[in-house]
Amino acid sequence: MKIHLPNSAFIGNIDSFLRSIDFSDRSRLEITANKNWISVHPVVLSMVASLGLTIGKDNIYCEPFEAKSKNYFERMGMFKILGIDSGIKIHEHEAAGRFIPLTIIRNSDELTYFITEVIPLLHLDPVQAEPIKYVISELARNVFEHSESPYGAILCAQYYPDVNRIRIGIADTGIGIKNSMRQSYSVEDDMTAIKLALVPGITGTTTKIGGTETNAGAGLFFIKSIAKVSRDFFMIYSGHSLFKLLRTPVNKNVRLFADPNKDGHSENTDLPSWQGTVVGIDITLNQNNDFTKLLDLIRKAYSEGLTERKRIRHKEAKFI
Amino acid sequence: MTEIILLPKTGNFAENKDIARNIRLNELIPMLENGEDIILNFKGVEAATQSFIHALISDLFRKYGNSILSVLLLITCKSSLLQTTAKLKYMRFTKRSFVTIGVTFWLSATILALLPSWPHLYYRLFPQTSGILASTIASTVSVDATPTSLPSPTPTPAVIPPLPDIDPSLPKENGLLIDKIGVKGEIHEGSDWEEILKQGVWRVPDFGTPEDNSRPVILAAHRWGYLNWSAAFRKLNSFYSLPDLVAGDTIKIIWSTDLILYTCQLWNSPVRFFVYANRI
Repeated sequence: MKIHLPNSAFIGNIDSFLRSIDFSDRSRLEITANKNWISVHPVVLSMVASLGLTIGKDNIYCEPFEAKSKNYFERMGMFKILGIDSGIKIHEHEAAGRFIPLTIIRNSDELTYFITEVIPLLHLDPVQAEPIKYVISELARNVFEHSESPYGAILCAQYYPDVNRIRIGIADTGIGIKNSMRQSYSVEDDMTAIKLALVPGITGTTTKIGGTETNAGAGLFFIKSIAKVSRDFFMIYSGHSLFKLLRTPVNKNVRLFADPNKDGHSENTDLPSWQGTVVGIDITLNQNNDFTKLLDLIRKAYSEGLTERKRIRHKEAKFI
Repeated sequence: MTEIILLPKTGNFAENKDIARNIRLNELIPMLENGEDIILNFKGVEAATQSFIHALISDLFRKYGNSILSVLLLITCKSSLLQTTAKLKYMRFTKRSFVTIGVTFWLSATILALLPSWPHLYYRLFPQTSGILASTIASTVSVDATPTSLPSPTPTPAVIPPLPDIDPSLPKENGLLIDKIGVKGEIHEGSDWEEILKQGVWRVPDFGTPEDNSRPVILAAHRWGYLNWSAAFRKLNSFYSLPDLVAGDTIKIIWSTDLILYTCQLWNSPVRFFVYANRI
């Protein structure tokens, strides 16, 4: 596998980075980077770390980083998690208040520890920390419950104080959304599976609308909606497909749709196949936004979407 | 009422679905099975994920339906969860209102549906009723009784109008005709009121006859009758619609005097309906 960290890779322009990944030889990972400046979304770091974990440090070749921003990758713990010596010497800054380094979360207890002990290190107001806790909790639990990945969820986050925005990336190398949804639904391709997973009330664990006693099929819909309400990007990459929620322009009202096709989004269905799932999200932490009200709004949309879905299913012809 | 305080179990951010599941399986469901009322106290919990709430209570709604609302109360200080609480309370109130309205409606509908058949049912349940009523009717007026509201004596007409010609189609037996309420029956004579009332209209023998103007004529009949009466016979021989008569209505008696008709108001009630008629 070959992965090249470009000059810039954020959700808005991540397509070309994803297209450049070479998965042809899955027994070896070769990491190269732009030699001048590297500025990437945390989701990119999560992807690199996930790939490295699957093959072990002995099979990783990492070209020495020359870019001025190379220290960032050291601080984010990318080389540490890959088990390689970057040769980069830095004066460790106090991490508090700026980022969450690459972290592996394998189970519920580790997640609870992470939420109670690590996220507070961002030193954000509780109002700002709530959506971060919420997003990480829901996304990490999706990995434990659906991905079947032995490596767990790999995540990291970066806070940008100038725009008051947090960027979160989480990746796994599990069975992917298509295989997860196929446990209960007949889906032909990755994009269909991704869109189905975004519909409220749909979960791979059951064909029942509204889910089971432990899975409501609401997690991804809530995360996507949080991004939409804050007029930010959100992406899911699984298999060959990338679904990317685009920013809602400030001159347009935000409307939450149960059907992801109605959201302003872009689709890419011919990317190199990622074995597992990658989710990236940006959230603008506007202190004027009451997160609880936002959740109420999303809950309302979820409930309406669920009702609509049940109505549609009820009206479907049944052949007996 | 058992209170489950969530803060010590979940921390101020409730997201661990395993904890939610344990609370549901090990505390909530056993308590509900024991018929206990439960308070889920979220005080101190700043936020909860949708997954946590779902894992905590969604299965309860699946198992017990909306009836869970009558035994489970959520208390919190966060606006989002407050909204949930308010919604639950609203649903509980709405449910009770609908149940009350529904029960009232069905009760009213049942009463209205049974009302026309009520005498039939009553007589079926208490077959001796007809006999008791016949006794009541017979003992209502004694010879010495004087009606309290007897209208002023009929003034003797200055000129006696000629009687109409005899209609040959009229029955030979003594009879009573009240077209307005459909009565057309024979007037029976005798002192064995119990047996005679089974046959229809009975003239109280201690009072006048149509030929005898010294006393009023009193005719009595059941208002409902007996179970073995056919509907047609009942229509012709009972005084069911006697209260519908008003001043000015015509009552014909095939005989020849002042006429008083009466029946009971309801069952063996002491109240009687009297209709007074003048001979023409």
